Amino acid sequence: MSKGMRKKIAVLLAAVMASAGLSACGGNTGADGGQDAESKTETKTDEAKTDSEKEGSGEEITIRLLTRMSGADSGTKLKEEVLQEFQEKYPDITIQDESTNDSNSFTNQFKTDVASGNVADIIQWPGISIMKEYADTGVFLDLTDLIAETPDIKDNVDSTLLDMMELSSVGTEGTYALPINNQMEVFYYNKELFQKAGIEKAPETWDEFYDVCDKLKESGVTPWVVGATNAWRVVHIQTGLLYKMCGVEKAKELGGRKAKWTDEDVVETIAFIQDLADRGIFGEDYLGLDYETEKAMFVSGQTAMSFDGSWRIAELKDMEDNVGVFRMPYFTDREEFKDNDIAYPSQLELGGHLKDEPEKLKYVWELASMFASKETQQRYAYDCGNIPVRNDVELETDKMSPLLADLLTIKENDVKVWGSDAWAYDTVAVLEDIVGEAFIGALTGMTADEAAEQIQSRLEAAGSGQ
Amino acid sequence: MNDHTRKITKKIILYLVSFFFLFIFIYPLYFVIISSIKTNTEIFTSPFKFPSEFHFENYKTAIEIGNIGRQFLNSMFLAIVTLVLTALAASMVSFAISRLRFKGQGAVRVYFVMGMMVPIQSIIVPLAWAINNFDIRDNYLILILLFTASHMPLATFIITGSMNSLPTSLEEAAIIDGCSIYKVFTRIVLPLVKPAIATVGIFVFMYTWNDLLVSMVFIGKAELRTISVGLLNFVGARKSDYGALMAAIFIAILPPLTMYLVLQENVVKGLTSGANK
Amino acid sequence: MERIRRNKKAVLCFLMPGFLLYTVLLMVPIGGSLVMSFFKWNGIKNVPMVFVGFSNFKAVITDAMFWHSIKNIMWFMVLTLCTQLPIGLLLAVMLSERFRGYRFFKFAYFVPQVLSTTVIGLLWYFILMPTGVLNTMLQGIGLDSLVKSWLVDKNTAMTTIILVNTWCGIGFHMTVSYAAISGIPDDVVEAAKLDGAVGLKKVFHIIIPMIWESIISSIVVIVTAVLKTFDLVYVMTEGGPNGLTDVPSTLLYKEAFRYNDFGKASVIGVYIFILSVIFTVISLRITKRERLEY
Repeated sequence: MSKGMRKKIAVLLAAVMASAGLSACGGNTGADGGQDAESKTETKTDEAKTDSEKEGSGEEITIRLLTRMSGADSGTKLKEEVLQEFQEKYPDITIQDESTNDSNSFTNQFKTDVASGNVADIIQWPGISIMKEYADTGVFLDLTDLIAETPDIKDNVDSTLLDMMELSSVGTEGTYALPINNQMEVFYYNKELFQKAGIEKAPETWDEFYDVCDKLKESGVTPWVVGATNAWRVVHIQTGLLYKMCGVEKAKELGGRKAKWTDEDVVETIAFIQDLADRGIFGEDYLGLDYETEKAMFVSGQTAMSFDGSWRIAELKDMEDNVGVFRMPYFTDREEFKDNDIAYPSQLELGGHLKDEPEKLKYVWELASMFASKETQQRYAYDCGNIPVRNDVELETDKMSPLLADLLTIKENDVKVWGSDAWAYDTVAVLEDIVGEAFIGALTGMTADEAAEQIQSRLEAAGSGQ
Repeated sequence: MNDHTRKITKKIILYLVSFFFLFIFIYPLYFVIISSIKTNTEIFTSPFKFPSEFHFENYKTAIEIGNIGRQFLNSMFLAIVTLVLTALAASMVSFAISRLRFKGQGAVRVYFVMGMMVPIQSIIVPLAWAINNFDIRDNYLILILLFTASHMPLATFIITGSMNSLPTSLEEAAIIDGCSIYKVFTRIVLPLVKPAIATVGIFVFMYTWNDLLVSMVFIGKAELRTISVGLLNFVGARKSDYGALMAAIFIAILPPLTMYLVLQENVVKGLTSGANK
Repeated sequence: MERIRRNKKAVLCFLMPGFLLYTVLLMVPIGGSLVMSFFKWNGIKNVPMVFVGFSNFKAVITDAMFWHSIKNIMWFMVLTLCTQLPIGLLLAVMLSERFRGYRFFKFAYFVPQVLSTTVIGLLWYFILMPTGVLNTMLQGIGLDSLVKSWLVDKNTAMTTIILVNTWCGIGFHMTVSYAAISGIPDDVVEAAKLDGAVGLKKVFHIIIPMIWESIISSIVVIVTAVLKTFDLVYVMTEGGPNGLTDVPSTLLYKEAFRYNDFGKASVIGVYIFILSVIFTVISLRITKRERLEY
């Protein structure tokens, strides 16, 4: 071989090695997976080592987190402080935080992790019955024993929330998530704009709501902008309407496949949203606006109302004196559902692979539980406007946002029946996307019946292969 | 209308239309640049104005929060290594097709060119399966090999075409003088097809730099993302931070734009070589 | 000497690396894609693939969304052919007049081609927002009635995306046509001038026929490139709202990574490949014929 040829091959080999080296130090999941398998067999055969490991002499433990608490999310700072506290206690453990605030990146990351069999150790995956698929395939860990062994959690975390995470109702035994936050969804309104439009009190029924919207329109303000490019904005509205029109039970029936999305009362909710749009309540351009723009418009006074979760409270800090809250209006001919409302628990799941790593599991569970500790829950309330998941958290009114105080009052007095996202009661995870697309379809030309038909047929098609 | 007037009218029309299209093609870029140094309120209240003060915080945000810097390096690394590998592999194959004799030679040539018809989306699903099965997610080595494979058809086509048009006299003389076939490749043929290789290098660099779909599916770790994917994620999370968005876009287009400014001829040749089927 | 050329070891040495790479990473996956179309798989590692025969094919053929995406891609092709090529040609003809500064314009018109489609998609998304630059401009010059949500409105969404793609691609065709025009021998141009063919007549009777091969080439490029479009549509609308602007590749992506139906996605991938082969072969046939006639 000529010198030149040798040189070229050398370059090629160098390039190949360099990129292999890069992927190795980048900690590519392939190599990590291999390492984990190796260390597992090592600990099995090398009994002698385990004693020194228990003393925390730093076996290589890396805990991976995939949550939404990142960037602009209100819980980010708190999460970082929790992580830091944990890190100080266990300096030898490496924490790899892959959290991202953007729902698309988060979903993509999670789904691809699932596909490659490499899920994180702590995941913040939303949903109730939709956890079933992941529970059954070992993606999420059954936490029943862990909770039973942790009195602080077992005795103090709200049992209704813990029950939500138990999946016997959909055929899988076990509790698969730890609730760490509770959120309500309400209308936030701009008091000043209401005053200017001559509105004296917040609406309680839908007829009063229409009245309010008319007055707002007259005073030159778009009543209620919805950032529809993020379909979940519309999905939330439909959930609220469903509960006020048919009650939380209906969602459970839909999830248990005892009811269909093409049922008349469900179609009515879709038609109702279309009607709101037709009345110009959402404004002209709402279909092209996103959540961020919607929020900005509320802050700048271009719109008077925003229907959002209690996570919004932290972001409204600067204008909280000018903001009031009211629940989604009820229907005068369906007063029986007046006290049904939305609650979104936020939760942490543990990766199913931890079943084979009892040592690591201890640390991971400890870290996860820290998010549900009394102290953390208190700070969640003060800093982020979240409703605590524990029953033993005392909150002082002057330390929290007035908006949160209002919500807690509402929670105590006005709501008896709680439901989460309507789609979350079904075991087919992709229903979230299916309903989102269909509702947007209903707002861009389909009839309510067609939209409902689209949901039902896609749901049945998706469910058939599971 | 006499000849002279006609000539002037023609010139006026030409210039008008030219400037019109200049505006259409360049204004968006100009807009990106001036918006990237404005604050977000400025972007909305006075979108067309040339900013009086330059705000560079947007770039800081893009680099620190969007991690654009890291992604820039990742893309650069992938593009360059792929470029080298493709040029190497394709020249070798082209040499075999063009200069060596073996059975089924014509078929091999067609085999390689056939690849040009394969759209990358058609192999995404088996790719996902392979990533799943062989645990090769986030593996830069495999990704580079994959990119190289996808560029082989066009690269081979171009270099073969160039080699075919070379007279064989020099090589024949060298062989008579006792040169091995390998030396002929490296000492004689390769230097002569440098322009074709440069062309290949440029289009491989550009296509790899701009790739979205494969990078999206293949890479999960945030630190290993390429600039196209990173840009998309950055925008998704910070849709309302338009200033930072514009800064990120500007950073992303800087390398290809610079390349174009400096190597105009070659870039044009590289990208239009796709037409010469 | 021939012996050297026939040296088996050399052949293997030069051919193997590229050949192996290409076969394993490009050709085998295409076969894999075909195979996977007969199975149902939801993307989770431990879940096995279930053989379902032709049901995926049936599912795709009877899916209204699939046909909608085909309709979109056909419209994409037609509109692109009618705008990208003619405008590119027009600019090339103008520039071939070599008026002062033409080099600058030529340089500028090609700029969109060096930008990645992701960037172009994001850039135009920003410009086309309901509260964005384009609408602001329209309002500024009094054309309020034209203000729309360009990427969401049923009537304008797909067309808008196609036009953005046109914006990007004009530079390519302009360059190719310009090169071809420059290749027209001077004596032909002179002879035409003497015959009185100037202006538009010149364009239609002289230029276009002389660069016909280049035009065919551009058509082939457009046809094959359009079928592969993913980036631009995905970045601007993700195929939405509700599948309005879906093209086969975005549909494929959604079926695989959102609805977790990898079997169905595979079928779409196979269809895209088949369409690609058909159109490439057809356009190549046409090109060959023209060459012979020439």
